[in-house]
Amino acid sequence: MTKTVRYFTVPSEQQEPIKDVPPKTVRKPRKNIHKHKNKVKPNRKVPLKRIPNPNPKFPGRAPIPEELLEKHSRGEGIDKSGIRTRIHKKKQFDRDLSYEFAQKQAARVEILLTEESGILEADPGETTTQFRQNEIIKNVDITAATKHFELVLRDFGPYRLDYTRNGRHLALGGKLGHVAAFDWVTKKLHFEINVMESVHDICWLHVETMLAVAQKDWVYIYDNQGIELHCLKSLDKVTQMQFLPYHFLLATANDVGYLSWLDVSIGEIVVQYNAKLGRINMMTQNPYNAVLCVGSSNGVVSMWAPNTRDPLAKMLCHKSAISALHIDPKGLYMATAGNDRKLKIWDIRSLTEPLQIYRLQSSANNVALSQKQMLAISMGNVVEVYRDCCTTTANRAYLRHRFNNSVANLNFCPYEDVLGVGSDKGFTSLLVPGAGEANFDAFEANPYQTKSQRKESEVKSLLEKIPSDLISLDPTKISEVDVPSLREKVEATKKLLFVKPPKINYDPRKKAKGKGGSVKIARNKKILQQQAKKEHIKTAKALKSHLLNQRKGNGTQTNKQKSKPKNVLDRFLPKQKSEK
Amino acid sequence: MAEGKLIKNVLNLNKKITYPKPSRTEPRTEVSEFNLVKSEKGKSNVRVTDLTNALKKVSKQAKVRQRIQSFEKKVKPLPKPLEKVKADRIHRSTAFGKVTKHLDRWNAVVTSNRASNHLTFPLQDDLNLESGKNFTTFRIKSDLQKRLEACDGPSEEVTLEKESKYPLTMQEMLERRKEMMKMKIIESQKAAKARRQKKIKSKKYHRIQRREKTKNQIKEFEGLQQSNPEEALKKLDEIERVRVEERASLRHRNTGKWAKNKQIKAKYDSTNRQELAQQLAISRELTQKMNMDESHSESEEENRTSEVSVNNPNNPWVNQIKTSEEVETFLKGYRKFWEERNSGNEAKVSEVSTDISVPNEVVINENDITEENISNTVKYKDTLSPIHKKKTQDEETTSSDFKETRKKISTSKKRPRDSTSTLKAENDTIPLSKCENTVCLATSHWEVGILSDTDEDECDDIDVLFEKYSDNFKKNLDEVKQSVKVTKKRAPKQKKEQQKAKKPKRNSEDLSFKIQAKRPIIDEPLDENVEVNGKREETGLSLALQQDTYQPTRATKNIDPNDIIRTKPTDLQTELPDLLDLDDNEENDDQRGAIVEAFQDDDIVESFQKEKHDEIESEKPKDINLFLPGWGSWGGPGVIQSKKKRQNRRFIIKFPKEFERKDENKGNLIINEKSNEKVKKHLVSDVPFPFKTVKDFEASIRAPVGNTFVPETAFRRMIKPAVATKLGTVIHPMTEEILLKTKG
Repeated sequence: MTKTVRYFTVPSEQQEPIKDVPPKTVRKPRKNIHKHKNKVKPNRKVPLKRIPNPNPKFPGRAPIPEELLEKHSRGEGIDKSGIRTRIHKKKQFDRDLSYEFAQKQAARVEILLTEESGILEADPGETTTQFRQNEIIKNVDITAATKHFELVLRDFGPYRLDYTRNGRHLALGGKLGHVAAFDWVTKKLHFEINVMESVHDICWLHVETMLAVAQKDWVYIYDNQGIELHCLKSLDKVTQMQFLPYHFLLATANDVGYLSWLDVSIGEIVVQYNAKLGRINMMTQNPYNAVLCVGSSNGVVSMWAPNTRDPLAKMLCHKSAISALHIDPKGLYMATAGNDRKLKIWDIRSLTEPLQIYRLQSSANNVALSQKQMLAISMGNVVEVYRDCCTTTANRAYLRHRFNNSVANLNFCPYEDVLGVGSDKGFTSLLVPGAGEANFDAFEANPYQTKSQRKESEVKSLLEKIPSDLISLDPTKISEVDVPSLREKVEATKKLLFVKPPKINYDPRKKAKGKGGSVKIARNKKILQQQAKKEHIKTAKALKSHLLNQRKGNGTQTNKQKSKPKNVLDRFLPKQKSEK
Repeated sequence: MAEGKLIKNVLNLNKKITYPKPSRTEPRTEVSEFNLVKSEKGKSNVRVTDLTNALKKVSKQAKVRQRIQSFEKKVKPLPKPLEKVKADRIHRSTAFGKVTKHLDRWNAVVTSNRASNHLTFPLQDDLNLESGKNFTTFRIKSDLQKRLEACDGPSEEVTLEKESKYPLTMQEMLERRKEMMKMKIIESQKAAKARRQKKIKSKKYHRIQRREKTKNQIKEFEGLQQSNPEEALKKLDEIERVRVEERASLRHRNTGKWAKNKQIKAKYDSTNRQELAQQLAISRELTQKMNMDESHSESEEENRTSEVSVNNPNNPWVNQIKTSEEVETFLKGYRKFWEERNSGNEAKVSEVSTDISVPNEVVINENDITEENISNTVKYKDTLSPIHKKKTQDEETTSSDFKETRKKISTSKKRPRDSTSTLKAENDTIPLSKCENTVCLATSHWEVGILSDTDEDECDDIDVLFEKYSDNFKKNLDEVKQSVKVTKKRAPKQKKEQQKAKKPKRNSEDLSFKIQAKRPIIDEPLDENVEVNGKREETGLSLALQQDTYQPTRATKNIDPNDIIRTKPTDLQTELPDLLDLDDNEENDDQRGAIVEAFQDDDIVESFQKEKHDEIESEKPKDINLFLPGWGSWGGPGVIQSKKKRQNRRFIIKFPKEFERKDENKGNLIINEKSNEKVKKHLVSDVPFPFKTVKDFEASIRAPVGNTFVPETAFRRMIKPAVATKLGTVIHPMTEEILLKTKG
C-alpha cells in the first residue's frame, strides 16, 4: 500500500526527528588513533597529470539529431531471449550493433546533402501564379534558363514524352510517327526518325541507349542511334507502356485490354492476360511496389501485378470516369482526376479516404506529381502547378502556363526543376522552381553518369534484378515468414478431403527365367495399386471422422456447460451413449 | 548315558557342526599352515597380545612388550588391494577429471572465438600498448590550430590532481574499519530493539511510549525556547504536525471528546446511538483501502494546496508565524492540556481552557475538529447529489463548447487510424486539452479551513450557501484563468506530453470522487469543486467509455464507411481552357458534365459495393456436405429423397465464416486476399535455428545489408568475412601461451 501523503506533511528529510542511531552514540575515536595519525602521514605525494579540459568549448563528436536517427531507423532490435544459445546471442548482438552503426552513419552522412530545393517567393501583393516563364527566366542563372525551351513541331501531332530515370535524356513520340531522343540538357540529338506508323507511347528502358516505342501494331525497341533492335510482336496494339526498372519489366496495356509484362533482360513475356477492363487509356506504375495502376471509365482504379490475374486491389475513386492518374515517385500519393471535374489525392499505402479533394473548373486531362510532391494538371491548353497539395490543402496555383494548343502529355523531369509538356504542336520544357529532388543518389540515378558508370550500373542492376513474382502491394513481404492464415489452413483441410489416391509407379523386378510371366507382373501391379488406394481411403475416412468429431466435440462441450446439475433421479433416465 | 547322548545328538541335529579351535598341545618345529589361516571373523588365531603376555613377567622385556602393544594399536593393516578392473576404472575416472580440468581452461578462448563475428588468422597477440608509454603526448600543431590559438588563446588544458591510489594509510584504514564495525553493531542492536518494541501488541504500552515521546519533545522544546527560539518554533511546528497527522489519520473513531460524550449519552438516547453508529460507518468507509491512483491525485492536490494555502488567511494550519507571547501561552496551555488528558480529568479541561488565552481554545477545538468535520462531510455528502444535479443542468447550458469538443473527438475516434485521421484528430484534440487544463487547475484551488458550528445549520440550505460564496467562486475562477494563462505561456511544448500523461490520471481522479469528498476539512470551494467535478466526471466517464468501445482490436463491422466525415472538397480557381477549336467540345463537355452530375453517385457506388459484397461472399469457405445420396435409404424410381436427411448435421463439416479482411471498413476498396500465392514460394516457411519465434527471426532480417541501402562503411563492416587468413603466414595451432596471459 502506498503511503498517503497529507497536505501538512513535509518532505521526509525534515520529518525524521527520531533516528534509529542518533549521532551521539557514536563514540569518538580514541586518542591513540590520533597519535597514529600524527605518526604516520598519508602518502600525499600525488603526480600531476595533464588531462583534457573537462568542459571544453566544442566537446566530442557532434550529436546526431533525433529525427534523423528516426528517419534511418530500421526498427527495434531483437529481444535477446528469443535466441537460443549464448554464442548466437552474442553474434546477433554484434550484428545489431552494426545495424545501429549503419543507422548512425546514414544519419551523419545527411550533412553531405547540401543542395536545397528552391522556391518562388512572391512579394506582398503578388502571387506566384502571375509569374510567367519569361519572367522566371530573367531572374535565374543562365544554366537554369537554358532548361526552358520550346520545340515547335507542327506536323506530327500530339506528342508523348518520357524522361530517363536520371532525368538527363528525353524521348518524344509524335502521334504521326515522329520519334526523337536527345540529351535535353545539352540539346544533343541522339536520333530523329519517322517510323511511318502511328506512335501511341514511348518509353525508355533501363539505360538511355534503348527505348521502346508502341507503334500501330507492335512495340519496337530502338537504340540511341535510331536503329531498330527488336520488334515485339507479342505486344500488339499497345496503348500505354511503363518500364519497371528494378524488375526489368516492360509493362504494356493493350487496345483490347490485355496487360502484359515483358522481361527485357531475357526478352520473354512473363505473363499476359486480359484485365477485362476494355480499352486501357491510362496506366501508371507505383514506384514503391511496381504495381500497375489502371484507371477505368467506371471510376475505379485497379492495381495489377504479374502474379495474379485478378487485380490486387480495386478502389472506387470517382463517381465518374477517370480522366488521369499519376503516382508520385516516392510512392506515397496518388493523384486522380475524374470527369466530374474533381481531383483527389490519395494515400496510396493505406488506400483509405482521399487526403484532399479539389474541385476544378474543368476536368483535367493529365496529372503529374513531382519528386517534391508538386502537382501539375493540364486542362485543355492550360497547365497549372500546385505546391503542398497532398497533406495540406492548396488554395492557389503555384504556377500557370497557357499554351496555344491543347496539352497531350506532361511529365516532371527527375532531379530537375522542369516540367515537360507535350502538346499538339510541339514540346515545351517549363521551369517549375522546387519541383525536383535537389540531392541525387549517384548509385541510384546519376544525371552526370559516364559511359563506364552506366555500364557498371547496368550490370549491377541486372544482378540485383527482382523476380516478377515479388510484385505485390506490400514490397516488404519478402522479409516475412510465411505463416499460414486461418483461411489457408481451412482450405488445406478442405483439400485433404478430396485428394485422389496416389498413382503407384511400379517397376517390376527383373524376373528370373521361368518364374511368372507378364500376367503375374500385371496382377502384382494391380494388387499394389489397390492396396495403396485402400490405405488412402482409410486415411481419408479417418480424417473425415476426425473433422466431424471435432465439430461434435465442440458441440458437446457447449452442451456440457449448459447441462443441469446432477439429480438423484437421473439414474432412471434412459442411458445416453457415451461419446468417445 | 546312551540315552543322554542320543538326546544330545537329536538336539544337535539342527545345529551347525562347529569345529574346535586348533590349539597346540605341544611345541613342535613344524607348524601346520592350515591352522594359521584367519578365522571368518577376521580375528587371527594368533594374537600378538597372547604372545607378549609371556613377556609380562619378565621385567627386562617390559619395554619391548609395551612397544609392541603400542605398535599394534597405532598401525592398522593395509587394506586389501583392489581388483585390477576396479582400480583401473578409478584410475580412468580420475585421469578423465584431470584432463577435463586441464582442457576446461580453453573454454573461454574457444567460446570467444566461436562467438566473434570476425576472426583473422594467425590470431593476433595483444600489443600491450598503453597510451602514456608508447606515444608521446607532444604533437606538432597544425597551421589552423596555431591560427586559432592566436585568435582564441591557447586551448585550455586543465591539470587536475590525480587521486592517489590509496588515500589512507593501512593504519587509518584499519581504524576506520573498526569504527565502522562498531557503528554497525550499535545500529543492529538498535534495530533489533525497535523491532522488538514494534512487535509488542499492547496498546497501553504504545500509548505510554507515545506520551513519553511527546513529553520529551515538549521538554526539549522548552529547553530550546530559552536557548534558541527559532529552533523552538520549528520544533513546535513539528510537534503540531505530528499531532495533526495523528488526528487526521482517521484512527480515532471513538476517542474524541465528542464521541465520548455521545457514548455516555448513547446509553439513554437512541438518536445519539444512531449518530455514533453513523460516525463509525463513515470512518470505516473512509479507511477502506484506496485505489492506487488516489495517491497520485492526492499528492497532486497536496502540491496545489501547499501552493495556494500561502495566500489563504482562513487556513489555521498555514498561519504558523506567531509572536513569541502567543507561542508561550499556547505552549503552556498545550502542556497543561496534555497533562490533564493523561490524568484523565476531563472535567478540568474546560476550567483550564477558560483560564488560558484565546488561541488555546482554538487548539482544543482543533482536537475535536476531525470528528465534527467528518459529520459535516456526511451532511455534505447527503447534499451533494442535489448539487450535482443542479450543476449538471447548468453545465448543459454553460459548457456547450465542452460538448462540442467532445463530439469532435468521438467522431474523430471513430475513424480508422490512418495518417489522415490522426492528423485531424490531433487538430481536434488541441482545444479540448486547453479546456481540460482549466478544469484540472480549477481543483487546485482548495481552500482549507474550519467550518464553524453555525455552518452546520446552513449546510442544509445549499442555495444560501451557494449565494454566500458565489463571490468567492468568481475570485477563484479569475485566479484559475490567470494561472492557466501563465501555465500556457510557460509550457507550450510540454502540453502534449502533459495531456498524454494526464489522461489516465484524470479518469482515475474522476472515478475516485468519493475520496476527494472525504477530506477532513472542507470549506466553501467545495461547491465549486463539485461543479467542476461534475463536469469532469462526465467527460472522464465518456472518454473512458469511448476508449472501451474503441479498444477492440478488430474493427467493428457495423461502422458504415459513408458515415465517416470526409475530407471537404476545396474549390480551386483553375483557369478555363480557352482554345477556339475546343469551344464546341466544351459545350459538349458542359452538357455531358450536367448529365454526369445528374446520374452521378448511386449507380457507380452501388455497383461497386455489390461487387465488393460478391467478392467477400465468394471468398468465404463453404461447408462440406458428406451426405451420400442413396446411402442408407431405399432407392429406385419413385423414391423421394427426404431433404431432412440431406441436411443432416452429422454429415456437414462446418468452417468458420468470419475472416479478417484487409479491406474491412475501408469503404470503396476491394483487396484481393489471394494475390500472395506466388510470393510465398520465396518466403521462409520455418523459423531457422537460433531463433525461437517468427517475430525474432523477422527482426533479425529487418535491415538491408547492400551498399545501395546503407553507407559504404557500414556495408563493409556488415560483410566482413567471418574468417580471414593472412597471406603468406603459417597459421599455427593455438598454444598455451594464450591461456597464461594475464591482464596488465
